[in-house]
Amino acid sequence: MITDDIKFLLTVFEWLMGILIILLIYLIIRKAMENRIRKIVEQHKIQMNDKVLHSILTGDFLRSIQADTKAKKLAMEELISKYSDVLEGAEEKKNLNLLAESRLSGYYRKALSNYRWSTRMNALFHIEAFQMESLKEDIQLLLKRSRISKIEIIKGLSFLAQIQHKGIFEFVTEEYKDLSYLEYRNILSRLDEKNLEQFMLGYHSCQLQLKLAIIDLVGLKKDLAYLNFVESKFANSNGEERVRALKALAAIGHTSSVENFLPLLSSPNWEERMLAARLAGEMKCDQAIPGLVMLLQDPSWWVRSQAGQSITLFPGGKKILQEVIETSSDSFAKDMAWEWINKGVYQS
Amino acid sequence: MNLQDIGVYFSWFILIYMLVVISFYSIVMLISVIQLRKEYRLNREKSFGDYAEEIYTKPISIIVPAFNEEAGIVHSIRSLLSINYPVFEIIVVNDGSSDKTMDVLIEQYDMKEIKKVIRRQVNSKPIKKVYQSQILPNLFLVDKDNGGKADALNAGLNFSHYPYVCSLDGDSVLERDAFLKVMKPIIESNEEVIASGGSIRIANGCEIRNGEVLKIGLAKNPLVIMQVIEYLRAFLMGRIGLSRHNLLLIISGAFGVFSKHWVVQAGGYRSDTVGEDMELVVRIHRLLKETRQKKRIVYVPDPVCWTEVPESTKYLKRQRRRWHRGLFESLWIHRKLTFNPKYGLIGFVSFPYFWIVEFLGPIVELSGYIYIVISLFAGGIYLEFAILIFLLSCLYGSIFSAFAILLEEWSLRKYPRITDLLKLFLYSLTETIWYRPLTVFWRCQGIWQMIRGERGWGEMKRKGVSR
Repeated sequence: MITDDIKFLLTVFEWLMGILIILLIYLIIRKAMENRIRKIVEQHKIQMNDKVLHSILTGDFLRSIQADTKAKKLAMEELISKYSDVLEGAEEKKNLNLLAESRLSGYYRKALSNYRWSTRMNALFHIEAFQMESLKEDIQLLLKRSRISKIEIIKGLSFLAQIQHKGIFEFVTEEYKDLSYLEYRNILSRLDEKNLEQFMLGYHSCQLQLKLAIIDLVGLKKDLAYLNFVESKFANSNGEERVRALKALAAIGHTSSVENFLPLLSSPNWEERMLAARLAGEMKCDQAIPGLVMLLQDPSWWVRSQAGQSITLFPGGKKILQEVIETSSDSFAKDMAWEWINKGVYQS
Repeated sequence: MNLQDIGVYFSWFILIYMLVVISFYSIVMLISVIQLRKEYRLNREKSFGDYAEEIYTKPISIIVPAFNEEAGIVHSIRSLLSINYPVFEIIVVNDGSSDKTMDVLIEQYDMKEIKKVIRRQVNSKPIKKVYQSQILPNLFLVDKDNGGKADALNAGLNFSHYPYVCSLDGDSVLERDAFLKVMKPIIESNEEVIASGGSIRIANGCEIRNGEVLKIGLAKNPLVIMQVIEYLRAFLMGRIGLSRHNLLLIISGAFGVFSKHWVVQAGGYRSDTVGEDMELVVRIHRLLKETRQKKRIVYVPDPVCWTEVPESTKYLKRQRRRWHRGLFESLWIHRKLTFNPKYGLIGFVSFPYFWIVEFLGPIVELSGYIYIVISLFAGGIYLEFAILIFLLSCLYGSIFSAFAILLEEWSLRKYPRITDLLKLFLYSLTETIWYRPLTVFWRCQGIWQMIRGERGWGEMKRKGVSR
């Protein structure tokens, strides 16, 4: 019986080794071919480089730059990709997009309908990087596919946001309602001011995660033009939305009436105390000083640290902290005051 | 029962054990193949490109524990300073070095002492002084009493300012996009992922200058080649499969990113074990299960970090003995989880796997080798069993390793030359004859050391990978 087992195992071995060796031969051939193609692509890149750069800088697309073979397409893609990372000028960007459109759009259109996920993803990355507006219909078709991964949805929506597609508001408020606030923020961050305003106007009809993303984004933009919007959200909301609005105000570093926020220095919610302390410091509101000194004793380290930082922003801040060190009986407050006095120029 | 019966029963036990292990490996391997094939040819650089912008990402504190790292610390820091990540700070924790680690850093980066209150969130030995670089404000040096690596990591945790922390060995060389790669699952999962570990590759044989991998190559030393194969197999086949179902119990100490909140909640690193990296991951899993949190710990197959491995049997032996002791300590401390329904799949799959395959495996394998040798003299039915055992160990030693090499080439393709691929493949087929018995023997020695109550780390000698 054991002899049979040995025979069986030996057969299994023969089969496995056979499979492994076939796989090895396939991979060696593939590697050799890929190394050869890579060499050709590198040669094409050297030949094309000056012409591509000339086209991008002048807008004069030379007929001789053709991407008719796979190697040439890859070379073109890599060159355009390299320049899209480094070029800043609006005119050059426009030329780059047009070049990509004229030479690569067919290639990406085909890739978007490929059965392989990674091929579709790669196409999405490049379409977005080169801002290929002509492919917006294809992207919308892709979004309608019944089997689509979440990451493709986010990339597709990001692209539509990037080209300021008119229907983006409807898309995210009606069709794609279950994304996280980080995903929404990622998509919305590509919108220009006009389109972002559409979201502020339609704020009431947005789902909570989208609302949080909008407020977050406004805070990140640190633009005084959005002050009224954030203040009204703070006044009219509660829970997470209210904290986010306060955070956005603290990020903007301004409010039309700081007095309204002073009571928050003694809020039961530590995040509110911290953010109010930050706002008071940014606005150098003298009335807040006693409250900030009190917060140096707060049970939360984050609040104490923020209070210390805010006090240093006042013209006589270090003197106030020195007094705390000399007079306070609270060791937490003393420690924090000591730290902020000694922060000096090396503050990170 | 006579001696012959015992011999037969024993051989059946070894055979069944090996079949169980091979089945488990095969399942894990299949999951890995599916996962890796999905991302085949994906432009990985573009896939995390978005996160290079500050607004999408999360700041990281990188903690580098340093104990007598005078030779390599500057190169390591240089490699860290060139990483592609928007907001980070580097905290070098000098763990009471007796060489010039501190002086070298202070001089090289123009560091000045700063006054700072350290927020004591986890236990660590007292911090003596804190320095900050005048040229690079995000570089800090924390000087503390010697307390071991885990203690140094805890001190770094207490000092850190940011919500994510990364533990890093002083002799590792990072890929420029390492942090973008490992933070990707954390950001994309909307913080459901709370820890993420990257793939570690072997730096011996690569051309590294000023902390940057210029050319990926393969060392000539057979011991190093076998370790390359071993790492590929462990990372590509083991961890991808386990990570897929949130069963990962190890994030390599050489490179892992954790949410600070959860590390602090779990109580930080434990300093009385030699496997503090695994122990922490197990403790976090445990905490997650006990508090019924739906959080995940994942593994990223992309290589993120290059590290030096021992080139001589002397140091490799020390490393393997220590790893095995570390494994046992983590399993023993948390033995309660084994087959405990409260801990779900961690208790029913991960723990039994680590106990039976990883910890007890060397003992069974060693007894298998002894059985084979004895059978050569005894002959008859024993010899037939011995051939079976040998064939099975070839299957799970060499064949899986050879497949791991091909899987790497099939999906990630990090080694550029065909000769490297061939060399790795051929070496992997020899694993059962020499390398595996060696490591099995050392791991058994680790168990013996543990029984005798030895606790030390054993000195490790390094050449330094960067030129």
